[in-house]
Amino acid sequence: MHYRHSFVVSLALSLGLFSSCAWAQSPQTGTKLSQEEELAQMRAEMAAMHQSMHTMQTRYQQQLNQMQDTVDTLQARVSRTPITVDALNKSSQAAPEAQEALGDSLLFGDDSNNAGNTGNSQPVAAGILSNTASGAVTVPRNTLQNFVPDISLLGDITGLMSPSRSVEGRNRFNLRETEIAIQSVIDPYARADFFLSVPDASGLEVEEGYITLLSLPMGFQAKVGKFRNAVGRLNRTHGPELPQVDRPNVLVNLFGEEGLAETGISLSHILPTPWFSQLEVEFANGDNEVLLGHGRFTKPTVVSHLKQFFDLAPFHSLEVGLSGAVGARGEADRGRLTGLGGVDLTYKWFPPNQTRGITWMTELLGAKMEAPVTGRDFAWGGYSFIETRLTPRVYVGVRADYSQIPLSNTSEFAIAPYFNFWQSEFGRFRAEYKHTFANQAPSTDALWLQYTATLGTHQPHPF
Amino acid sequence: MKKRTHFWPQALLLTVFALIGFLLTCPALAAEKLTIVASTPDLADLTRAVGGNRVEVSALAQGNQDYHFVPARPSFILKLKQADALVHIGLDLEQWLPPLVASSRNSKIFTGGLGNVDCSIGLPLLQVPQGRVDRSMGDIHGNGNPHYWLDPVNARYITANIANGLKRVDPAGAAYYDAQRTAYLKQLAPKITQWMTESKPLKGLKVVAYHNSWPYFEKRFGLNIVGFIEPKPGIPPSPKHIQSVIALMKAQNVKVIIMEPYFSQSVAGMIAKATGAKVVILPPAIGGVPSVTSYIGLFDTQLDRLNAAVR
Repeated sequence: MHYRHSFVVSLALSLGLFSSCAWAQSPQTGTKLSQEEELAQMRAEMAAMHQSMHTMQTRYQQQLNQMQDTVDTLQARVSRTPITVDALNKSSQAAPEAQEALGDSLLFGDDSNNAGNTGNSQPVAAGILSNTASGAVTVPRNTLQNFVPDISLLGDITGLMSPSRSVEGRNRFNLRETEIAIQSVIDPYARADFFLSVPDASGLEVEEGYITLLSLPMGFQAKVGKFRNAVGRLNRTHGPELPQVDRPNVLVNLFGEEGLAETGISLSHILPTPWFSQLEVEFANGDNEVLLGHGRFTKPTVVSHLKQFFDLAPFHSLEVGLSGAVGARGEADRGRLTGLGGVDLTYKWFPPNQTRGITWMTELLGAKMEAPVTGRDFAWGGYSFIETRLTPRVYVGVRADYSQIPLSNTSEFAIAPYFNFWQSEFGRFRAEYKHTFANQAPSTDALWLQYTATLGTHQPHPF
Repeated sequence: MKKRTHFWPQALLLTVFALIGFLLTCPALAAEKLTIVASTPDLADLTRAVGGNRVEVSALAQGNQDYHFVPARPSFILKLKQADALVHIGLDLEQWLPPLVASSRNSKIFTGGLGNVDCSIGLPLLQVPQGRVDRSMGDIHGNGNPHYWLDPVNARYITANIANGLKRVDPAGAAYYDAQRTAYLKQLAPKITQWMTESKPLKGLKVVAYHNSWPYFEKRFGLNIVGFIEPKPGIPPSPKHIQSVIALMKAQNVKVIIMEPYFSQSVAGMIAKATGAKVVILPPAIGGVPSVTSYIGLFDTQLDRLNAAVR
């Protein structure tokens, strides 16, 4: 509408100018001087008229803008469509009283089109992640999909090169582990976490499968089923999620390739300290292949772990753990006892800029065996690694291992530098070289290449 | 002959050791004020505004962290264990939060608990995926873009959810929370009017963003985000993609790059150098830069920085 008015005003101005020019150029009968005076007078009148017309045009334009804004606002209310950015910007040019109302109308005005109204939502059409903002919608919640457990799969593919004959699986590609995780709450009181594993592309195993009773009286939490035990720091970590390709030697030598994962019951409690302090006690059958393999809960494997966590400063933290375990060995060792103790330290610096970071983890474990048939009656070992983030995607680190092998007189030391490249949050490439010195065997060398992929929603493991 | 030790004394010792720890536990003293934990400082600020003197609020993440990747520290569990309510963004932004909640032993804040306050409920969302969604699209959020607090008008929905949550855990304060919320929104309304005026020079301004954090901000203040430094959400830029961004910016004469303070400024700086653009560090949250200490101050700073860049 205001365009039409502008056109009329412009046309009038043009006609006035044209006629004045035509008149000024027409032949006149008076003296030259009087003609010039009249011409000057006419020019002054024209200038005054032009100014007057301009003032009118500006005033009309302002009035038209205000009317247009009013119409836009009313149309938006009537059609119950969101007020557009254009309309808002026009409103911000409006009269002062209209400006004061803008914030109020946005915060207190009718929002029936938006809040809580799923019926009239207009889904975004094509190009859902286009660079420009699309229409606003309210997502329908409580869909049936929400009742489906979180299901994910971790694939751990390795290639191992080694000139040493004693290195198992050397010079082969290997689908080392396929882990399937199914996780969900059961009801308001419990959740279930099941991790099925297919090692070396053959045979399905239950790596973990437990129910957590989330909120027992007096602040306790309990876990029943098969779970990785709370010994040290890394025993709980699944293979594909280890900080290096291989599990540290000390854990393999004391608990076997898969670590200590027993079936039983766990009870945990957060202690009333100013810092985070959690105590866990676990009672399990004792099915471990190396040191805790009695297999019946009449002589259970008892594991205890005290975890202390300190925020040293913003983005700096220190975790200190103390572990203890006792259990009976298998029939081959006449069911004699093994006691274990350990300490673990983890320091982390994780600045917010996502380009730097340091993790330093150290763990020491010792095992005392009652009257062993062969070998030493005390074995200990430990590892320490430091890892630093070089770029948002690249991490490098090095790990040192020392371990005495229980029930024998062998010990070994290993050094393993490694490199991680995260192509995304869900895919990681890794290379690790490991040189192992053994006191009663030749040294070995191994080079791993590893690719780990996460499919689906893999929930981080609860603490 | 080696002496044989006995099993049960050792097992008993470990159990007693554990029990001593358990017995040290005493119930926490009942606090007069509600203890509220917010996942982010922005939600904490809005919760303080609504809860007034009936609540004590703390935040888990810091505003200079990427909310997608907050390291889940066990010390957070301590806060959650004592919380009467947990106020969070939802839409799967805080992937680090569920295991902490599961370990808190606090059924009040479990999903479905009276004190679990999801601030995205009922909110008009942008960029809700339709059709098939998978990780080839990067780290997208299945229920819509979760950075909704970056439109100040959405405070009406966020504070409504907070007020409802506080009323659930503290029904006696219902009228108080409503009055507090209204008072805050009345404080916010003239600021929104002011921001809309201040953002006039930004209308239609072509910018490149580092991450897809700004659709709500873009829609409210009229910017035009034409590209992203990340090739897909959450995927760091490759050299090839950086070259394509430079070409895009030259072709469309884009002179402003907006980015959060926690991303690599070297990449943005390199692109800016190649295109003659300015890099504007926009804090996406309270504490994103030290000078931003309130939700209102957040938008003051954002618009000041953008206007300074286009002057």
